[in-house]
Amino acid sequence: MTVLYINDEEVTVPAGTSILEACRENNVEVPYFCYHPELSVAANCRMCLVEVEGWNKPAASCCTPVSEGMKVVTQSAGLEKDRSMMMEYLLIHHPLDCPVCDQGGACKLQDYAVEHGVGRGRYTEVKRLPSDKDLGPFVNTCMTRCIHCTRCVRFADEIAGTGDMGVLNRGDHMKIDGIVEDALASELSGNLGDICPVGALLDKPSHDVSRPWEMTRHKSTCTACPQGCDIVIESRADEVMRIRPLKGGVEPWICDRGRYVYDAFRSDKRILSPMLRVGDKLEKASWDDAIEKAVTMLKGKRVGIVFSPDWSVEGLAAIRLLHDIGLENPKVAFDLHRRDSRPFAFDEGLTMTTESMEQVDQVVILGSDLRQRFPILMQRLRKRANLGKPVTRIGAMHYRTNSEIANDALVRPRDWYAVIARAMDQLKVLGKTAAGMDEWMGKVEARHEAGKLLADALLADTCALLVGEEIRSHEDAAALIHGLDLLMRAAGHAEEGQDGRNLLPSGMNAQLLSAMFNGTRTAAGEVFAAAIAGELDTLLLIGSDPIGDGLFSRKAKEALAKVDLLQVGSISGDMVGLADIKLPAAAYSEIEGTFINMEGRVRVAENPLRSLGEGRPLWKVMMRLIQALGHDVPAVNLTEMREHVLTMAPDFTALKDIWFAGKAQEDFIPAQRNRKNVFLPNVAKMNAAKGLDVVGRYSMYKEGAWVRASKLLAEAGRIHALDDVIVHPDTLAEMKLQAGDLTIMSNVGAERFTVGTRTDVSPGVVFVSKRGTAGDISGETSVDLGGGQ
Amino acid sequence: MSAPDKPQFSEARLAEIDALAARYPSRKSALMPVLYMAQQDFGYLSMDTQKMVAEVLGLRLMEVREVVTFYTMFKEQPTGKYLLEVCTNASCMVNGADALYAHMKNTLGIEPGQITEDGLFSINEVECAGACAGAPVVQVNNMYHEKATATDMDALISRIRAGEVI
Amino acid sequence: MNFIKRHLKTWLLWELVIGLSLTGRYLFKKKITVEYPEERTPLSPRFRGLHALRRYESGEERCIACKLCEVTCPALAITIESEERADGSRRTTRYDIDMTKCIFCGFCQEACPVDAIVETQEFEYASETRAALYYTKDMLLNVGDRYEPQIAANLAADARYQ
Repeated sequence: MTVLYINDEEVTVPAGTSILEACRENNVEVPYFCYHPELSVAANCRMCLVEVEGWNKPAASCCTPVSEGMKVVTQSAGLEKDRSMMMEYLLIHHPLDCPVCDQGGACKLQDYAVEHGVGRGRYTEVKRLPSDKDLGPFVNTCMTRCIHCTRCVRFADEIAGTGDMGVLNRGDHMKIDGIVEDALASELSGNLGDICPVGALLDKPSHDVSRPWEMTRHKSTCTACPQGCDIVIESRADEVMRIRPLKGGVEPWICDRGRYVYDAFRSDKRILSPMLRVGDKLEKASWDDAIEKAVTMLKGKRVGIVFSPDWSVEGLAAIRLLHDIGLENPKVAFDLHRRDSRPFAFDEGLTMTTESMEQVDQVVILGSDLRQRFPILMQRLRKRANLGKPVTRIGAMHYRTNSEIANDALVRPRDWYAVIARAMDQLKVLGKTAAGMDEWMGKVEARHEAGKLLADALLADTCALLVGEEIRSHEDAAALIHGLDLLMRAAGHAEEGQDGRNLLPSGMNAQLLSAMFNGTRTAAGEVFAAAIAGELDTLLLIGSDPIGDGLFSRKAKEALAKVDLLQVGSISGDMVGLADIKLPAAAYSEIEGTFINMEGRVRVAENPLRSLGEGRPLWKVMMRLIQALGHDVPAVNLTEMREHVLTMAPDFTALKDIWFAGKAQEDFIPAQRNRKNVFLPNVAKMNAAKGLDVVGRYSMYKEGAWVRASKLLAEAGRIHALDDVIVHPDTLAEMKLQAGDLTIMSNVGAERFTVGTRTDVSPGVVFVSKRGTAGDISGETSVDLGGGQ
Repeated sequence: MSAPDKPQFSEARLAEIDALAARYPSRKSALMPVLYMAQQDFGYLSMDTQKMVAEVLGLRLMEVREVVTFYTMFKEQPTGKYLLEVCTNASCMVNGADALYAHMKNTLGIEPGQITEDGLFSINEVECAGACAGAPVVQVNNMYHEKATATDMDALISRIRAGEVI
Repeated sequence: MNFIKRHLKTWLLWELVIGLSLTGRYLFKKKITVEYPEERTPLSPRFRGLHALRRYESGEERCIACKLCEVTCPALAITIESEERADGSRRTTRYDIDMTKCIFCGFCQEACPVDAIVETQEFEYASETRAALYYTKDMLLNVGDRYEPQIAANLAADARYQ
């Protein structure tokens, strides 16, 4: 620690801190433009000058480290003059267009011009006139306003890792430019508008529409992915204008998916009032009529429930209450991406925070397109890789990342057994073993060399496994995860607490759901199969869009054609025209509620927007249904609802502390561990599979009902489109086929698709873009390829 | 006519670059000499050439672009075989560089950024060439012509036009 | 004496004479009453009457949707919505002033950086319905078109004091 004096006040900061950071920590105002806490120090705006006693000229505080006994002065006549000269210099080329600039009112340049500027310019020569750049659908440019702080360049370089922004020329000709085809390549590009201290880079979708002072800010939680970032929803009246990361939140950035999903709030796919089917059409109805009709569909009927995990904790508990009290033995499922509903040895959720992931020696990504699915988590790993810490990855594709992957191996889904068995071999040679490991290994004959990478990583002192969708949606996921658990135990990693076993979930609140529904849940595929087989009368879909998302779209379509559909939700998804009754439930922005993210972090939204239509919080809709079905209402307010949550999940003391003791969160919600069962590999089933394994490819701009309803994200999805069907060229060559129109033969028949080739996918795998023309194929586990004609 | 091929360093050049890059702690550091090589080989640094350099050194295109645009002696536009660079800074200006520059432009019939029809000449005004003692100075490719007069330059231009290689 | 004086004044209706003499003086004085609406008083160039949205000579509306008038309006009478027009300029899609709310403080014209919203000298816009006092963008632009010469003259007259 270093002791120094800022304006004669003694302050203590860690050694190596810069003067500016020391000032910021101690709430001493120092103006700056180019400094940003998350970016490297460029020291090119010269606004943060301070005086240091004994130095004969002012120091740029952002790049001057503190030293013992240093005496810093941040306000003096000399500094005021320096700052006013700096402002005059920066304003030389800056246009006087604050009234039409969206940054106006929230602009550092404006603020400092008032505070430090002289109010007149002496510059009479020609002004620079750099031309505007087209940086895609999310970032608007007005380069005349640029003050060359290079925050955007450093962001593209250091955070996004795409490096597509740069500074061209020099001196008076200096300009910021981007090498951009249709759009910035980064999935974090929306942040550029936030970090620009002036109005040069602005948010394009909300450009010229509103002013900063009109906004009402609502702290909320993003549910676009299980990362559940802290967000601030900015609204004008009831209309959402922007979504931004919460200042001082856990993550400094949010991804474009979470940011521009707000476009869906005003989409015509919203369910804003109760709807009843009359003949062929859905017509607006009153709540009373709709509930009455819904009761006829539920009472005494055989019901299947499929719900979305992204509702608030209170809403999910209400679904469970409806399940327990209101209905007779319904089938219930919630994860559209999981084929295997057996309890996993380590169930969904992380055991560590994304921050602490920066600290561990080894991170192994097993079968996940992390950049598309968890851009913010990938961002953490990138930060980690930049510090020279290795990331190992094993998966069906060399997924494009913005980070260095130290070891990268390809594996087909059916070879996961062999990978794990190979790693077990290696640990065994080193004398490390665990009870049950031999039995597990004994079931698998084959060995896959990627297992060596896995074993090497496991042997590090601390290791974090990030188990992704390729394993989670595997048919025999429970066995694979059991195998991985054995491996971790054999390698001597902790069994409890931060045990390094992280299973990436597909939705929010995974820890709570696996605690609340273990033993009750079935796989979504089974619910649809039951509906197809005529074992169900009604499907109750609560926020779930099985046609648009997940692995069971084909089955879902068939099932929904057969049974009655009661849809409860905020958005229709792809089930337009299928529902018999629609009941509006308020969107995540419109409710008071609690969310648990994949790290186990609890976030309580307390300041919601007003619901756009007649939507009510989900728990109220559920209570109303329970009442209409002739039962006592178990909860009449949020507090009672929360008490029910605690009864259902008594171990979640963190929730209790936050709700009822008003404490800040200390403990994270733990992921569930189910080590009682032993699941051994079912190799025979794998061997009976068809020739090629299918892996569904996820696009962050197309997955999820909310995301699909956003026109902004649809545009991004068009620009960053994924290939529909791809295979490795060697695989095709082996089968004596040519890329082009080929027949894909699956369990449900043969269909023709255009098949492309790429060398970065694993041989023996067919990659199918989930939202592409061949999207339904992604529900299959294996297929055969046949000739064109 | 087929589309112009993408620029490609010769094998010998690539070997030279590897040897050069090995002298630095990181390959990135060899960027400037490699750009000079590319300019020598291909006349100027087109976007394709810059892409190729980025690929050879494992850099991002933007990093290469930043360096290329920073230094004025990296040319992004094609020039004639002989690039005449007339210094017009203080000493040269006092000794009549402006008139000389105007005269030469007139003789060649081109403006800066253009190439004469025979593809031989381009002309440019440059900042101090560092040869004030011999002002006015005209740099023809890598050679200085000090105390240059209009007559000298006319003679030089006609010699080159006549086919002499200087 | 006083007694006699008082009785004289009483019986000669003296107070009445004084009163009537005042009336008589005004009867023959030059009249200051203005016969509105046939006659009108002169108005200051700073008179704050009905609002108008102005245009440039080219016919382009001046308003750039900066919303400063909206935020400065103490009566919250102004409502603005804006978007980027096809040519890239920032324009209003809606500019409403609720005259029933307006208190004619003139802050809006004070705040306007482009002299787009101004208050004219027009004050005869009474209506029989409240709805007619809700002025939309088109109505305000119409007012501007109608009174432009007057507005320009007033702005010019007041320019040296601004």
